Amino acid sequence: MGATLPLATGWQLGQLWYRDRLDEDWEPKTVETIRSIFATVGLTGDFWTVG
Amino acid sequence: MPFDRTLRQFIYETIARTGRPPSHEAMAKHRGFTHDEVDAALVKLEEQHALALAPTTRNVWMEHPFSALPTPFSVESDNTTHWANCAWDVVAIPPLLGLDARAEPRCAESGEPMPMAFRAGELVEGDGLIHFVVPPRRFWDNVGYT
Repeated sequence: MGATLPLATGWQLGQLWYRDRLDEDWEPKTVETIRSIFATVGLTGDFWTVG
Repeated sequence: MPFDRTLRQFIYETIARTGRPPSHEAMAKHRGFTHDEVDAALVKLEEQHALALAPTTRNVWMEHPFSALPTPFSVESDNTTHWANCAWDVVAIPPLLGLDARAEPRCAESGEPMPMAFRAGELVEGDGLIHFVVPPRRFWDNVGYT
């Protein structure tokens, strides 16, 4: 159940997911941004579907 | 800048520097606000999913990828321990802060340590898998479980 990622992929995903987190103008991610991050890391399938 | 935005920034700056969120007292003193105003700002931030409060309290629980409370997922750098909420957050903290750091979370299945090292945020040592139980579209349904 769930999904597993190699550690290096998790690191890459974390870097993209949180990269604006310390910014003063941080805003919650849009569905489009999340899809773009997942596509960059190569995450596909139902588990990674949002919106 | 609205107070909730200022407060969010203050919380992150404090956690990044010390590994711990500021006290409620420090949050109020930061810009001279009342405790009620701090509470209201914290609730607003939680509604935006900018942080999670411990259930039934106004205490910061999670300021992702950081945990305000000790967890089995610690990231050790020069003089600071940052606690993560999960194995994924462990690998997210060093790049967020550009840290030279080490971590050794344990495999949820075998209990074996998973040593990893980071240099200026880059993953330079480590192996294994990260298991996501909850799909991202449901991360906030029950963030503690996620």
